Amino acid sequence: MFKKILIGYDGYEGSLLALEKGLHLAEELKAEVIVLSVASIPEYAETVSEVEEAKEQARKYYADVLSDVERLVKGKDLKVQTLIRFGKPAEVILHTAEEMGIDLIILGPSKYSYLRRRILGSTADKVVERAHCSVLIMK
Amino acid sequence: MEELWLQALIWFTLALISSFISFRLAISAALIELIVGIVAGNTIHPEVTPWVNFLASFGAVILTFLAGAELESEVIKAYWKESLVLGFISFFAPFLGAWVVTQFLLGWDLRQAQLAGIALSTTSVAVVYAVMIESGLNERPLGKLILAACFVTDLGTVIALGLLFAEIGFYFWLFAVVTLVVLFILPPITKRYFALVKNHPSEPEVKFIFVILCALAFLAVKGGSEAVLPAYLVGAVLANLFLKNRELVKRLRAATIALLTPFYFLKAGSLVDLKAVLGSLGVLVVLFLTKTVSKFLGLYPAGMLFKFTPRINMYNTLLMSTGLTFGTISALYGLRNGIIDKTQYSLLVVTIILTAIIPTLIAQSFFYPKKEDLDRFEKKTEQRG
Repeated sequence: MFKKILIGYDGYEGSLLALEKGLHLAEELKAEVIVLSVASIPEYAETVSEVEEAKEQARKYYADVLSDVERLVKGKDLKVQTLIRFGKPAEVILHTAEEMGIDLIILGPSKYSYLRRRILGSTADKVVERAHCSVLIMK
Repeated sequence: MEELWLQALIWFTLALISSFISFRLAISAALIELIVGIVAGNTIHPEVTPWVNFLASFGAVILTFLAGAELESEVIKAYWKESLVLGFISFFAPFLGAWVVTQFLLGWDLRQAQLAGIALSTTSVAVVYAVMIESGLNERPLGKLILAACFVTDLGTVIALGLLFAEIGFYFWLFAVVTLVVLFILPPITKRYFALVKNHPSEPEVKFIFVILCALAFLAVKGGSEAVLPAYLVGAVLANLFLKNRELVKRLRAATIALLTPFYFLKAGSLVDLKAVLGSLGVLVVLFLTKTVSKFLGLYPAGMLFKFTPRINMYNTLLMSTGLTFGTISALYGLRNGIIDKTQYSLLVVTIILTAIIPTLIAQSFFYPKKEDLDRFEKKTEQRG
């Protein structure tokens, strides 16, 4: 049914749950998995070096975060690719899913407060609203 | 003496608040500092003392130097034709557009209109770069071309600001000759000097750059020009050296962002008179439209000439309509030198803030370049050889 699954992962508790359950589902379905971490970079920057520095720091942080994937995949018969991309999480998830021909996106629940979600919206809400494919929110 | 510490406490608290908001919202500190400065300037009125003025001016000079030092000469060489055409159009179209509109529609005098033209002609390389990272465009030929064109636009802005209001006399020519000589001899001298002192804990490289920039800033101001002009040019001629020395850029940037640029952006914001802006919302809309429409009228046809697909062309036009640092530097120069009044300054700065935000939001939401667009453009570029 689902051949290519994208799992959004940022190292927080909710997304770890999505990662664990998503990998389990992918194993059942014999689907290919892409684990995507999206790092924010400063918008409206002063200098290019500011952006470069933010990218470098994020790359180090997410390289560490994505080591969880290796641990969870060990011993499983799964084709998994990890990716670090930069920008607004919802936009990047949507574009990556479209670009890679994903047919299921799996995300964890929002880590932000109810108030912040109401004011700024959550990544999950934006992805559900605009994704070209099915979206599963793990809780 | 305690007054000095109180003033320092107020300014650094504003800088700290800006940093924290910037961290929470993932928006650059520069924009937040401008906005916090506007709020503070219209509520608690922090005092702009001589030392605040110095730190702010030095911040603008170093920021401009850093912008010049990010210029990748290889990229300009690779796309010299496209980047020169797009860059100059991106400068001249809004420069002339804003000049004409402010002088003949809004009734500003000649010098005020020229200053408005310069302040609204800018493109922010850093804003464009940050947007392009999201689409991965910065790694592709089209992204490099757009960035090269942005550098050319910035060069147009600093040259216009440095020369248009200069008083041509002995000291101006002295400044011009010394700057040209320094630009010629500085790269080999700096290379040798950096090799000699490399990475000593007393930061001799950073201090060397400060000395060169202060000397040229003194000559520029003495010659009736503007300190950011030599700063950008020195940055540009040392760019290759700095691109190979990322650690030095990091250290220089850390010193600048912690101590200098907060004063520049907070001060630039604090001088904005919100009442004046609210009383002239119509003018604000005219200024915003003047910049974006004139950029569109200049850049879109040029993009067609280079066979950009409609989506890429619109994306490029919108990104090159952004502006932040050089726009505020130009407006502040105009206010400091009595060319524009506080209301005109306030309108220009708020317009510049809007042009940093609105075009990028539209570009990201509606004209995000699709992979097939980029592939098509690159195929065409290859075919053209």
